[in-house]
Amino acid sequence: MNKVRYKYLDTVCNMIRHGEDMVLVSSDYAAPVLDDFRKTHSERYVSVGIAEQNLIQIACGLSLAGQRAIAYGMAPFPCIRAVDQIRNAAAMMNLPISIVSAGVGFAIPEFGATHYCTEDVAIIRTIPGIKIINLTDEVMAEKTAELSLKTNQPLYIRIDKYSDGVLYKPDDIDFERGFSIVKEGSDTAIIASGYYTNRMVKLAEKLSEYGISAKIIDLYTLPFNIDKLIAETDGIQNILTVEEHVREGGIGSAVLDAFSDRNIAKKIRRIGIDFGSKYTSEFGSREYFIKKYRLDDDSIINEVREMLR
Amino acid sequence: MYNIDELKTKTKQIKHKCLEMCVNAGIGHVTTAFSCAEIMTALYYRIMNIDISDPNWEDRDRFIMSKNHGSVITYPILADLGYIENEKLMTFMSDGSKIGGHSKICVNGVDFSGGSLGIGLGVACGLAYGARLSGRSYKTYCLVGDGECYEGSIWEAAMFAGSNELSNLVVILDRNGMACTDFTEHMLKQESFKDKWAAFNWEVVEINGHSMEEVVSALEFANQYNGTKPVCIVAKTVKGNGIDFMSNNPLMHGAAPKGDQIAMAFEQIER
Repeated sequence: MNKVRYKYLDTVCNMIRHGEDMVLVSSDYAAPVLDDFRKTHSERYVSVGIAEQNLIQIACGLSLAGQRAIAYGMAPFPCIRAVDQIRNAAAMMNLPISIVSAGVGFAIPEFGATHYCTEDVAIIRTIPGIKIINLTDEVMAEKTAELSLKTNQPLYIRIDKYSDGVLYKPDDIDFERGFSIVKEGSDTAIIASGYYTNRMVKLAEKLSEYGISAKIIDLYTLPFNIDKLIAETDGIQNILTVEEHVREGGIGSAVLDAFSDRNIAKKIRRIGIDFGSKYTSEFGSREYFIKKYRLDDDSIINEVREMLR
Repeated sequence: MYNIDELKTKTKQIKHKCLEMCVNAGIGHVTTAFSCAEIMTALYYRIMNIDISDPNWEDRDRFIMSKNHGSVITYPILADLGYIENEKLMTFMSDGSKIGGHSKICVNGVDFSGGSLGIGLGVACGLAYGARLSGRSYKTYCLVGDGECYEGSIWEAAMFAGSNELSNLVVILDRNGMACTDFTEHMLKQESFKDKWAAFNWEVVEINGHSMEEVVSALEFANQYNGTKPVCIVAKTVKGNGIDFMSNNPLMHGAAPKGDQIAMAFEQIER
């Protein structure tokens, strides 16, 4: 069971059950938690069919009508199919809709490269006024659903398929700061988000076997508070960013931009996907692609050790 | 409420001001604006339930200008009604002006920020669905261009509205027969629009979009319609209507008259 997705959607459904002016719009993408809800609240579960452009359009119209609209669909399509609507309706009118992409990164690699959601952060972060939230655990999922109800700007919410661990208490999460420290360390800072934050916490234990103390930072919101992130990495010269997203324009790029714009010189390495000159035609498991694109533990450990050498 | 003759007179005044704005700016979608001039005048001066003293009144009828390059025709109407200051009109497209080639919600009286074609109808569907959810009786009117009907998103929205029986939604399809570079039927054939919208479960009415009598009659039918379907008024129009050298001329899509054309244009719209 995907507890993160469950918690986000269940919280939204409960808000609707309690009478909030909220609507869940779906582009033919289901979840077990919705099975009952869509029968009992059929007016507030709106199916647009497999039509992501209209998913965003309907959400924007509902927002103009005073409703809180959640546009829910299978990643990457709510982003890449409907980026025109996201830019020219949601962002242009600053409508507080929540666009929920479920199954980011290589979450469903068995279906091939069309279904990788590996460019969306780069696309969305160039559009002014949209807050990207990459969900890490179910506590964050619940807090994000609460934000969907009260936000005054569009949200783009990324949900993985396997983010099942619980890292946080509610007060740990601050969407304005944009990040949280999930493990202290002094030799290097590893900045990740979503599913990868959980992985990096475990990887930090392996690094400690090599005598490396790694600080793990969960960068879950873009844009984030640059000054606070810089302060948190004060005294650490080596930073590694890790993401299941193309290296161009993802959180690694965002971190590089931040430090460069503040004239802070650090050694920053980005681990992310490099597809080379074309997308792969291969199918396989997530672990297969994690290894293929050098996002596996051994590759990351090697990168850290080389950086610290 | 304006009668037919008053609406005809008002249309001329609005077209005149619209032409002044575009001539002054040296650019503007005059032809696109003039194909829908009668429709816009009828909507704002007779059909829509709006309160100028309360532009954000929650029960007001909504207007979504999906073919938003034609929005230059809305500014003189909004100024004439008192939503925006008259002096602002001549800042059209100038540095720092909010009155530009596509209308934005930062302008008083504008319900939708347009510009990217094919988006407005889906947003109008969301508004209409939202009205139903909140028990509000307002109608949503949406002006769609035939050129933007090449966008697949229009048909996603048309299917949504027909399937959800959004009878509080009215589309006026400005069927001027042209897109930017050519006549639609020379590009990809679009006819029969009547059959297409009907097939998506819309109540379809066909009219001459420059006959004020037919425009008003169709809009009043849509306004009072108590059936279960959304209503689509297919308005057959002429792009650049009223100015012979601009009408049906692909080279005049986004152009304002220049030089000797200016006096000719003003003279012809008075006829």
